[in-house]
Amino acid sequence: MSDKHKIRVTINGVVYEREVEARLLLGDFLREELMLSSVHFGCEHGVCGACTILLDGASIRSCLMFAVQADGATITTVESLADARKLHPLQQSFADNHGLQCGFCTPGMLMTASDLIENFPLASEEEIRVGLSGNLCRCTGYQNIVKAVQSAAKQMRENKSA
Amino acid sequence: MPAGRFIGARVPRVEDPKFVRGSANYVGGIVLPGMVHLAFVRSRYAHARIRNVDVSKAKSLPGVVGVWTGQDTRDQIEPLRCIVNKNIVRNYKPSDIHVVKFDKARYVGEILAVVAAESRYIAEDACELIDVDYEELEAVFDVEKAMTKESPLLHEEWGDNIMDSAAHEIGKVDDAFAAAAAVVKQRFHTPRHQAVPMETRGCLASFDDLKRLTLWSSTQIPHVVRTEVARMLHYPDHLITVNAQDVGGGFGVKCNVFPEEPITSWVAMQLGRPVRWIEDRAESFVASYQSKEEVVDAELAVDSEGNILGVKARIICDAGAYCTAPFPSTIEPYMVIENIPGPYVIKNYKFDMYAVVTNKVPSAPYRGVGGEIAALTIDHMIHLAAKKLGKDPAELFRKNIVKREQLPYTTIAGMVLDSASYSESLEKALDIINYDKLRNEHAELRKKGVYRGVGISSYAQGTGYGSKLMSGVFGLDISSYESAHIRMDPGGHVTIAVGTHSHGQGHETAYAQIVAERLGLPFEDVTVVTNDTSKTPFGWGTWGSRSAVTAGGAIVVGCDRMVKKLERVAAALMEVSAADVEFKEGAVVVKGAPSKRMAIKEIARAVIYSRAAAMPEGEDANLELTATFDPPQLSFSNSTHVSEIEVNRETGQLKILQYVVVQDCGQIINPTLVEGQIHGAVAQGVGAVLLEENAYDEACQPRAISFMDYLMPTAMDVPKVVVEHIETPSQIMPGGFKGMGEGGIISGPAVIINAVSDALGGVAIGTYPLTPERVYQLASQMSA
Repeated sequence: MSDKHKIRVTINGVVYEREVEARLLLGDFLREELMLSSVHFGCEHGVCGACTILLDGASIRSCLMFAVQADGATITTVESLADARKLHPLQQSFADNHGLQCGFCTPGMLMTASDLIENFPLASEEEIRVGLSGNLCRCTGYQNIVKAVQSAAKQMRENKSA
Repeated sequence: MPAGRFIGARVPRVEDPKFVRGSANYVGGIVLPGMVHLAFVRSRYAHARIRNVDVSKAKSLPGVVGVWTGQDTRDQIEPLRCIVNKNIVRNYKPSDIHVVKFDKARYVGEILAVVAAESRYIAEDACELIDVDYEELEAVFDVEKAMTKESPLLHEEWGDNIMDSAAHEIGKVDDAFAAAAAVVKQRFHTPRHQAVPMETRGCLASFDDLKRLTLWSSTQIPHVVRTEVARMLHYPDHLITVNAQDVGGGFGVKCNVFPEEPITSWVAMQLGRPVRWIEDRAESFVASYQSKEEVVDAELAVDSEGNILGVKARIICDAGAYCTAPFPSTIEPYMVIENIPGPYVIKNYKFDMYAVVTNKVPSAPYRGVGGEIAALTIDHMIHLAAKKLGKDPAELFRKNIVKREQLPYTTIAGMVLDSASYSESLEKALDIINYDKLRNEHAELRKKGVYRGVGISSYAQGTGYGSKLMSGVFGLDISSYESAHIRMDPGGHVTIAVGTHSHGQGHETAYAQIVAERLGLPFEDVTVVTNDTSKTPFGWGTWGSRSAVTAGGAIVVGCDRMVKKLERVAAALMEVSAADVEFKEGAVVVKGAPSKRMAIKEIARAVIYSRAAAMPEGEDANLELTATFDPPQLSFSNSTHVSEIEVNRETGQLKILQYVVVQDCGQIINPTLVEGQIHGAVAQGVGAVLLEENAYDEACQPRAISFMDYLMPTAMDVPKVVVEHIETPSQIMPGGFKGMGEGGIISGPAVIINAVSDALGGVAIGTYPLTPERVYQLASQMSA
């Protein structure tokens, strides 16, 4: 017997009203119900970070939250970064710096990176590595991801101040 | 092939936009109308008879569409079977894998029941309602105990637990040891590891119009999966498509056919609805194949100068419960045997090898197959031998490594080391890290109670495994050529289709670089198709660092043939003889009259579209061909890794201060892609030696079932890697390419263990991961 609950969420600027089971993970709500295939599950235990999205401005693990807990929230996923013609500077920087290989960890990395760039000074490479330590990547060895974040941070901050 | 406009260039990847946009099609994101979801009941015991599987309660749960046990599938799905030629591999014993068990489970994780339901959540609910009546049997945990007469048997018909064995002596090993000034004797017990790609496995089967089976699968070997699923389901190949469009990493764990693929396909055929199964991470720790657990007892004899006189090795591989297919669990120990001599001049070698079954998840190839354990064995023993002789390890490595003037050099294991840069790479790596200066620094720091060390490791990696090797030496029922289908359209653009599989390697970019270079075309005029069996010629997928060398070779051969055809048809169109023209920079030019020329675009339009009537006798009106390349022998990449590590004797913590890789993989296609592979492989090596382990208890219950137990290297654990390239093109492979995708992991454990040993006064290290506790124990062995 499953009780369903009404939730209302804004995702990438669009408002959705749905009825969901209490136990439905937020990540599954996004991927399975709303078909936002950029949200990937890598572990469902909150360790790997592949499911990272932005909720009310903070990067969170969508596998550690139930959809019902996101009622009323504003969520952004990687789909919101680029428009149909151009990539976001952060996405472009990952591509320019070979900061991805298989691409599976990439959406989560990008969302974490956007939180880092927005909210942290990122004064050193070590600080970036600490900031990314909650996102696992098995392909790149992180080196080019760090480079991509450094380069994107510089560019995005220059754009902002321009 | 010399570096040109594209070969050797850092061309940015063309495949990236979909990945950074999040619009890639991994199988977990594919949704089909009417799709149902699978979940499995997996054995809780490592060794047990299955008395009964009661699915009655599960069947009646709302939302459940079907439930099946091994009794339902045993006559419907053929077992997974690795076919080995018994005339070549005499001691091999086969172990069929019935995909759903009905009699006996041999590891925690074996599938006992299959549930299809409207959602994965309901499917898992149903699994919890399934009652299995087990008769628990004693588990076989330790390989040495497994080899005794008293041990319980996994496969009763074998009479023992030995899947395969081999032994050989080349030269006179006992004489060599008798003459030695120093002998190093070392036992290594390497941990069990998993590849752990960030995307777990998964597949989605659709049986359209009840005739065509389409299987989306997160696999590295789509064509092989297709052929095997056809065999296992008695369904014709031509009605099956395997589409592995976007796969989130593989590293070998997706390089075998897994039980879930034929099961998912079969369920789709029963239901007439699409069926999807996505492995969750907890499941992967008992369902995805594991690797690299070996017990190696080795000895090294050296003379007073440090020259290697002989090597002995006994390798016991913990193969897990069954032989995997089509790439067997035995590949790993065989390659350890092959690779122990490494890139060193060794004249006497004696080995024996056993692949032994235990009640653990089956063992299958994982990146750096055989090379990693071999490099650890030989390089740590050389390091320890140096300490015994009171010499610097660099001196012994320099002395024994194969020199350029000795190439081609046939190693004592029969591997023909072709053109390479073994001693040059070693020198360069030592130079980059400033080895002599570090030695002095470390000596000074030791007086202040700061313990730092340097580790060195080098390897020769055989790449381009061809069919002769696979069937003739490994005795496998598979081949290993690769094909490239090259097709020009009337606009003069080229589409190539190749049977390898890109799951992060950037083939769409690298292959286009070769074609654009070879045909003198703009890079944008070339498109690459891979990963889908309906769109590519039969090929063997991507594993064993094979793509650049084997597919790259096929592409070079095909382009050369295309150039010859362009010359012939253009000559006919220009009404001159074929001997009077030559292909130059994307056009066919009359020799000596450069204004008389036809660019590729003009030739294509004419041949395919407007002037087919002008084709000479015997020339088909198309610019389309398939070229196949089967490497005649291996071509060896080489590399030296050097690393500086600081050890905290009190906390057992390690800090990797520097990590240098000098890599020679022949003619480089795209240096950025090569460096990316090295960075990633080094990270896996760091994880392997410092963090990762699929530990089991004595009942063969897995102790690592999440990332809380199986620790993965993060951005804080992996050092920045300094990479330097040397290019010694292969003289064997078209294009001069050699493989390198796996290389970076091969020296990982060896170099870090040597560095830690060096920091701790030359202590011998035989096991890892080097947890703080282990390092603390090792440090306490040091005299104060």
